[in-house]
Amino acid sequence: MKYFDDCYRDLSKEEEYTGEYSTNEFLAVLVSRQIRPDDGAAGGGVYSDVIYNGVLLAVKLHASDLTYITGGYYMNIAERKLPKSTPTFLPWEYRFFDIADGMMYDHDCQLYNPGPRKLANVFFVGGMQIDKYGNINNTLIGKDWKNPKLKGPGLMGILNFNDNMKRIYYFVRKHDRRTFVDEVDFISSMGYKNKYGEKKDFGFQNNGPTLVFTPICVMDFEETSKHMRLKSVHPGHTVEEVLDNTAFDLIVPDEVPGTKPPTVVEITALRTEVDTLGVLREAF
Amino acid sequence: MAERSSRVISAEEAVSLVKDGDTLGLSGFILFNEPMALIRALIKRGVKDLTVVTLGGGIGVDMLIGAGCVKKLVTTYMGLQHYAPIAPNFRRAMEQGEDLFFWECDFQHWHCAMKAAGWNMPYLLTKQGVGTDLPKYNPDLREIEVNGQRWIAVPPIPIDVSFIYAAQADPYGNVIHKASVFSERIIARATRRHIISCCDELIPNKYINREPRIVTLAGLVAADYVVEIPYGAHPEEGQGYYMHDRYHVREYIAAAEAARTGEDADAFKRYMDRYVYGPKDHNEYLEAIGGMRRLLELRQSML
Repeated sequence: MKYFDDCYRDLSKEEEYTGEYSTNEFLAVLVSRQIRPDDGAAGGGVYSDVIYNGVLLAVKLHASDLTYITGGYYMNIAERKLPKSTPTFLPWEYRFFDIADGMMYDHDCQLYNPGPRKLANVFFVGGMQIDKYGNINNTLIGKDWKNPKLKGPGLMGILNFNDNMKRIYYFVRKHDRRTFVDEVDFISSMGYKNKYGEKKDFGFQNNGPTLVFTPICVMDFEETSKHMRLKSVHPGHTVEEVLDNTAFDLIVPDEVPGTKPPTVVEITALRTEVDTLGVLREAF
Repeated sequence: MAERSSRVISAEEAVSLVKDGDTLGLSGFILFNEPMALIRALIKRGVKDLTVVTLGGGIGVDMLIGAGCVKKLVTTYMGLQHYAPIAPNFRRAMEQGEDLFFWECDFQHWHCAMKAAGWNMPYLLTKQGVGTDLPKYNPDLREIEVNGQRWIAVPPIPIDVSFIYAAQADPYGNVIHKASVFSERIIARATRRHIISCCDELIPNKYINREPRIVTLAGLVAADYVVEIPYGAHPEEGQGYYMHDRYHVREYIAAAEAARTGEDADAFKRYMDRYVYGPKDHNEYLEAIGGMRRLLELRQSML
């Protein structure tokens, strides 16, 4: 079987893990594969166990100089053991509190406007709705903005991160037709292009998202049309399943590779050095 | 010899400084460091038509909305983490057509509005928001062209009174945060009338003199008034002292959600009667939420 196995490490040299693993563990592994040693720093969404475990896994495996930014802290865990805490606590603050390199004393100076400095190369963002060009809606659901069917909780910093990172990845917990829509009800953050223009013309740090991760597949964007395209399907899932759960016409290549399953090295490091509490093994 | 004046006041005195229609700045972020005790005291006193400004609203802001105190909300986020992705009273107000204007924004717009207020600027520029529907939804975010590039001009939002929760403060308004300083400094900077610090512990000035670098608000942005309220951030986390109270957070959300969905229309009113209007002071509130036993649990869970 042909695999999508994009990673800084050569995964063909690593033995495939044959035991059982959860979808969340697999997604964390996929996140880790996208982190490169020269990325400098990476940040993850608001609170996402998958993303933070994935980034930290990359630090343990191949990106030992990477600083992870979360909850106002900077940290590198290459030579540190993650402290234990109870799963009832949110991990993003408490587990890092004692091992951080430093913290942001004024969030606004560092996080929200890095100016000539570079905050991070990589960031993972999500959306209530995502369209075929990668536009994100996190504001409201419904065509009548004054009386929305659902009002989102606000943007937090999604624009800030979407525009200021070298590479952004989309990450959603559910792959369904409510999420992957033909047209978003509200453009909260720009994809490759929309009715206002193309992102590359606006002077941002990136031209659009690199990849889209879901629990069943990986997608990218076709080079010229910037239209979303199926990249690979996770083990146990099919192309038909992806198409049934996507409301727009996804580009499907003639041959769709499988997403490379986790290797022994990846699962071992994830369980013994990063997700020692087994948070990812539990159902969300 | 002249004596230095103490800035210590009571919670009741503090909330009496807020008027109807004021713009109120609140410290903290989601489930951390909101000045909860002052918010409860303010609701109890009764206030209306507030514009509330906070980086990310938590239970405190949601409670103010539920109590009918808020006309306009300037914040980047109104969710309660994994407990409730969208804060219940906020959601009810937005989806059921109540009279609440949400100043939808991203981090940078919020910070530009605060900095423009703090620096007396007509507007500040950010690139975030061009190429989106945001300027159509929030008319204050105006798209303009500078040097051939499109920018968003963000106007100032000056604050009248700010409530800043902190771990410690001395009687002269010098304030110490134990962990994150989310946006407290810029909120203080944008405040025109009164910066009021609600601290868990009042400490002697001597303590600060030994290590002035740990002070987070002093001088230009020192608190004008200080209120000592132990466990004043409950049920949120008081950083450096205690965890958020997950039992109480769930109780709050269950009540507000039941009222929102109509499943139990009086649930939120009962919550408010029990925890906000009922207790005659903060000590009675602490008894109502489980007293010493619960408070010790919250401290121990920080270890």
